[in-house]
Amino acid sequence: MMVSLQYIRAYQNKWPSIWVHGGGFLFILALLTIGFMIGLVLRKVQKRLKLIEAVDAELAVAQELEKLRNLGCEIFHDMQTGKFNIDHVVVGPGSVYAVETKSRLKPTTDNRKADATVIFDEAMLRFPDWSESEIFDQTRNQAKWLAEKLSHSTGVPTSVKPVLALPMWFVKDNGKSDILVINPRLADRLSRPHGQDITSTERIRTISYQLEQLCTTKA
Amino acid sequence: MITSIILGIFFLLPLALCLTALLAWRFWYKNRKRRSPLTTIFLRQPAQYLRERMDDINWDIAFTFMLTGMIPFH
Repeated sequence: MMVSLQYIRAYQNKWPSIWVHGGGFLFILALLTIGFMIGLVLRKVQKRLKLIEAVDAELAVAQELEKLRNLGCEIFHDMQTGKFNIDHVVVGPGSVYAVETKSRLKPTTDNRKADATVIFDEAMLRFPDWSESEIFDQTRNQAKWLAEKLSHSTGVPTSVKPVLALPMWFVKDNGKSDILVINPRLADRLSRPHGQDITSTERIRTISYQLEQLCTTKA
Repeated sequence: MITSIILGIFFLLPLALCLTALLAWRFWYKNRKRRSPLTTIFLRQPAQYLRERMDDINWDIAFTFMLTGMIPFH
């Protein structure tokens, strides 16, 4: 319709009659439409900027996790479950880890060290000027889902540890929680055995095969 | 009236040419008697889902801009 109006205006050199007779009302309608469109674009641009931050964070974490391959780990990315997605899965001699990446912007005060520090105390992430606790449930649920899936598909009970990766944040962890909160630059701890969770090479292969089936790109 | 029809044809001509070229290329591509040697299924890339969402948003933004430009307002 809009193309037709433009066409008539351009080639017949006159406004369509509805436009002329509508007068001020249509003028206001056009203004409102343009305002609405601008609002729509701004909302999309804002969403896009957030997505760029999230993509960058996931790539940064993936880049660090890939180094664990040299230490005998297998890494999988962007696992789709139908209801949610798991950003990264690490299978190593230590255990299986479901890694959730979160991108958080730092404040810009003069104290750069304090600006980059996050304190993790069991149930709360304390950033320099805000706190968060909701993300732990998501991270735990992902690990639980993956543990059930792997136990079912391999026929052997498999535990999955939830990990929260905060790229470029200095994490002070008191180590009391079931969730690991890490700076991905120090992700080599995921390749080390923890307690009795030692996973054999054969078991790593079996689990990796099952994960490959879950992480393939659908054509 | 005739002028309008001629102008209309000129308006649609580039579109028709593009579509014809596209269909011709598609026909050639499907009949070139070659197949990909790859049989492996690709693993997902980091942030693939987010990048797909970003592509959708890019298209939405471009489409909204295009619609805004079509409003006969000046």
